[in-house]
Amino acid sequence: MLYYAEPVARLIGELSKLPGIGPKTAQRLAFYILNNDSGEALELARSIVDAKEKIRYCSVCSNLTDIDPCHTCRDESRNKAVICVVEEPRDIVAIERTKDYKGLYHVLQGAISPMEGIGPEQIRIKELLSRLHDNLVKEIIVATNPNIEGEATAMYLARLIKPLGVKVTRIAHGLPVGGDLEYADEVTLSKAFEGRREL
Amino acid sequence: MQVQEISLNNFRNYKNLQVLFNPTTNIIIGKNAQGKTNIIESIYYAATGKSHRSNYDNDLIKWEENYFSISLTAVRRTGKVKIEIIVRSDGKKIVKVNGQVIKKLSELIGTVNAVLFSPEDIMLVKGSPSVRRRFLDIEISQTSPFYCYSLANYNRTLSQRNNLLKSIREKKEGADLLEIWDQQLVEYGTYIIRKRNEVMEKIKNIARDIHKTITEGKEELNLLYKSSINENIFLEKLKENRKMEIMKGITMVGPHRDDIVIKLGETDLKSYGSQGQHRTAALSMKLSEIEFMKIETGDYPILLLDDVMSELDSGRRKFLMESVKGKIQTFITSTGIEDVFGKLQERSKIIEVKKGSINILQEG
Repeated sequence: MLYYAEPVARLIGELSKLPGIGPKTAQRLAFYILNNDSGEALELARSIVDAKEKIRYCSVCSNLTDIDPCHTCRDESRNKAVICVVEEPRDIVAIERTKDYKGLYHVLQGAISPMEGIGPEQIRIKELLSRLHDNLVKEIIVATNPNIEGEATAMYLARLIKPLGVKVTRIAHGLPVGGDLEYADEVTLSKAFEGRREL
Repeated sequence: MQVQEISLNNFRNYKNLQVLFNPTTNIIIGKNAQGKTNIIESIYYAATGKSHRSNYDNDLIKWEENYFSISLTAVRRTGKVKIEIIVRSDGKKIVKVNGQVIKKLSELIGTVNAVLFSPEDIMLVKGSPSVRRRFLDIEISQTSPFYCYSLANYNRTLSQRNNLLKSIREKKEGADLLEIWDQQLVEYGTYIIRKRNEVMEKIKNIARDIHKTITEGKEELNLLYKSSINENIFLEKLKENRKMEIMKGITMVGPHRDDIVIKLGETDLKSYGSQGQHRTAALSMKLSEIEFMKIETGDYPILLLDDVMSELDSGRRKFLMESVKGKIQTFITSTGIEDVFGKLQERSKIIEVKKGSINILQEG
């Protein structure tokens, strides 16, 4: 970094802290920003600060939002009897793209993982429980990731919530739709066999 | 299965190397520390995505270089296959099979099956249970991707659970949280135990026959999978051990505590056998691995013999060579050719290695 003027070096340094950005890419981005007119740089800086200042966690579902409660939680057309539980806000985006799910969401902001020191207290399970008090919710769909931590979290939720008389379901895993059987990897295929159903 | 060709860049002491192999026997000779084993290692790496000598990929990069690459072409029963691997010093690793980038290493396993026999394999008999579990795990993983996946998941569940046990001991979490890990531990663990038992049943008969032949009928080798837990009471046992497990901070039963018992007749070989008996038993187990893979995949694996010829007496050497001759492509390293190979060298390719470059002494 010795070759750069101090402000340039600082910009490259900040950019390279971002995930997926190495020193080379940071350098390219920095020069792109510097070569553009100052209006664009200002716009970028403003939108970063803006997002950071205005975005917070929804007090109901813990999703990222600019208004509290968030747009989904306010939406009167959504089915308030079903809550889909996910690990990250981006999981909601994926499910929303299906345009099939019309219920509410709850974002845990993680999964239980003792290796990383994350227990039930560190993710937003308390917030989920407090949503069940008014007996409006009839079903919880657990859509955590299909890995060790996601499954453990799902199990934890089932143990916690079932005794309250709320139905707890888990999304299925198996073959991707539209794919050919012969191209599925063995593990997915084995899982699909495990979860087969009667016709 | 046969490896036709391998090309190396910056691998260990090889700057650039390209070797064509003989479909039957390839003998790699040279003085110590010239790079014989490095060739064996590169073939093993292409087959498994790992080195048998080092856990750190960076160790394999040539001194003062920032990457290595291996490209291997093989012929299988089902056709030609090409494996390309590039590893950079920053840890980035790209693996391609027939030009397609694969995401998980488990997808590479089974593309080219290899069995490696090296002097350390005597630890199969003498060493700790983990060596024997590894022997089974590698063998089963090469024939079953689902086993490979289950094993990785089991190990992850195990470390999550052990971490939790320690947190409970320090009163950071409640003991009731264990249950969410127990179920997955039992699910994957039971599958692993079942699969190991199943494979052990097949291998033990093959190994017994091989061992009988090597010892000219004098010894009967008995292999037995000894589990730390009966799968039917796995979950109950976890509950029963709860207090003790929290105190110790580890999971006390499961496939990670299992072992293979090796007996000659009724005698436990580990505590009573001689060095020679240990070596022979290890050889029988390794050769049974070859036959097992043939049964499971329909194709013989390739055999890598790293410096083992000098360890075996002439009778065993002869047996080993007889049993692979003509059907299994074999790669052998040795310091000399004089007395070790006898007739075998007649139709073998002989490659001499000297300070990271090769010289073909005989095409075979």
